[in-house]
Parts: sequence; C-alpha cells; structure tokens
Amino acid sequence: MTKIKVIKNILSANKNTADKNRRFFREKGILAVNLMGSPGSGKTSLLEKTFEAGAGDLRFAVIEGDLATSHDAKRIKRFGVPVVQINTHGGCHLDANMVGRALKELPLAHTDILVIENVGNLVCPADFDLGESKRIVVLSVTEGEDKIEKYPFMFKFAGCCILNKIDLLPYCNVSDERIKRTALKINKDLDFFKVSCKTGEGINRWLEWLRAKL
Amino acid sequence: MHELSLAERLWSTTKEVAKTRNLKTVSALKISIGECLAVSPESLVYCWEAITKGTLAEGSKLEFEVHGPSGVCKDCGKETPLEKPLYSCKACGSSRVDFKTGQEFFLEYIEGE
Repeated sequence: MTKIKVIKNILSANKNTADKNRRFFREKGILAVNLMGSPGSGKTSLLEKTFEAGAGDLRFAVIEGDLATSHDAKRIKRFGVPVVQINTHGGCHLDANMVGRALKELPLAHTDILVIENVGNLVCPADFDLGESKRIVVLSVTEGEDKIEKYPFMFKFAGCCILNKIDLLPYCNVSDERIKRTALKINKDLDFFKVSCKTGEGINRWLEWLRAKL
Repeated sequence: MHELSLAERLWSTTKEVAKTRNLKTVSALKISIGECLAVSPESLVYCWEAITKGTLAEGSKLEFEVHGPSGVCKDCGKETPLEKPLYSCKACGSSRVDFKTGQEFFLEYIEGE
C-alpha cells in the first residue's frame, strides 16, 4: 500500500477563475456585484425598481442565474438592459467559470455596473467567489427574523443587506429593527437598507449606495 | 448541497494522481474540510460511491478531518478560534474577522497500490 501526499485545494479552480474575473472587471472599470437571497426575496424586483428609479445615467448589464426558465431575464430585458441567462439545470449556485463564459455575451465596454443575480439560495452561493467586488444579500420580512442566524455566512461576507417588503411589516410578526441588529451583530461592516419593491420606499438610498461604490 | 460537483473534482484529481503514480487501485482518500463550508461529508460519500463505481477507486474510503473556524480579528489583530453563532473574535468579541480556517476543502493524501 502506498500513501501519496497530494495536498491539493479542491476549491482552487473556482478561486483562480474568480480572480481572473476580478482582474477583468478592474481593467474595464466595472463594478460587479453578486446579488444573493432566498427564492422570492425580491432580487429581480429590486433590479426592476432600480432601473425604474432614474438610474438612466448608469449603464447596467445583468447575468441571471436560475435552475431553469428565463423568466427573470425577460423581466430585465423590458428595461433595455443587456442580460444573459444562465440555467444551472439543478445546480444550487453560480460559479466563477459560468460567470466568465457569460461575460463574453455582454457589451461590457459600455457597462458601469454588472449585476450577477445568483440562484435563489441562502446556503451554497456563499461558498463561491465569482470575482465580484461586493456581495449584496436581499432578505424579505416575510422570511422571518431568524434567517440571519440560520444562514450566517451569507450575511457574514456580504457588503450590503437589503431588507425588502417592508410594506408588509404590519402583517408579519417580525421587527425590522431586530433583523437589522442581528445583521450588524454578525457583520459590523454591513450596510443595511430597508426597502419596498412594491411602493418604491428606500430604493433611492440603495441607489445612492450603489453610485458611491463606482 | 453541491457535493456532487465536489466529488467530481475530487475524482478528476484522483485520476490524475493514479495515472502519474501508476496506481492500479485507490483504497482511501484523506480530506481536510472546513466546518463552515456548506458540504455534508455523508452526502459527499454517497456521491463519491456513485461516481467511482466500476473504476479503480471503487470501494475506496473517504476519511475526513474537520476543521473548526478560526480567523484574524480586524479590530484587535489577534488570531483566535471564532465563536458561534456569530463567528466573532474570541479575544475581543468583534465580528470583523478574516477567516483562516473553516472554509477549506483539501485533498491531503491518497492511498493505493
């Protein structure tokens, strides 16, 4: 019996490709954000509201990640924003290689902000660096107060947390302030916004944050 | 939840090593795994058995060494184990930490002949 020392980082392939994507974004002067959150938390709705809220001077491009269907890409296309749909066919997250391939299909010479909307999932996307400069996690009040402690890594490594559906607060047994306190306890550097993609409340503050990151 | 893709990457590395070192059979693999990674060793074993069926690694055992989270605090500068549930610095309690361990997935060695 032979014992062969290997010591190989099995995750290094993704990390190397993510670093390549990051260099590419830096050279092109593109702000790349990885938009994550549960299914139905309002990731695509946030993008729709962002495009509506007078973001006309910002040139967006979007990569949409989904298990199946191109429903989200169709919603983005209505705003004239270039979009590529990635279907993971059951895969629970996007990886750096999928993003790298999708980049070839976007007019990135004319893009200020690239939004990579990840597969709706609070677990696996946290493990996969895509080469983004910021991670944004969308959480909705209907998901309950305990999601941050249940899925800590999603919030620990995020730069910004957006609490969506605040118009529903009177009907949910949750406190937006308690959610915010827990989020900041797990990640002191997190920028936290409360928005409603239904009424548009808070969207401008989030847009200001995005502009400031350019 | 992504154990199948990890098992596939593990298999491609195992094949490479077996080829370069002329192994006819692989009997065990030792893996270092961070406990903060969204990976279940039990599911990984299940995927590994499915992938390696009928190959030179059929029946091989996966042995795991699980590492808890540790990191360097951005506030007090100390390297400490991280305290759950907020994964904060054990020395000063700050949540501003750079992880050192807890997220790794390393193939340490392969046994075979």
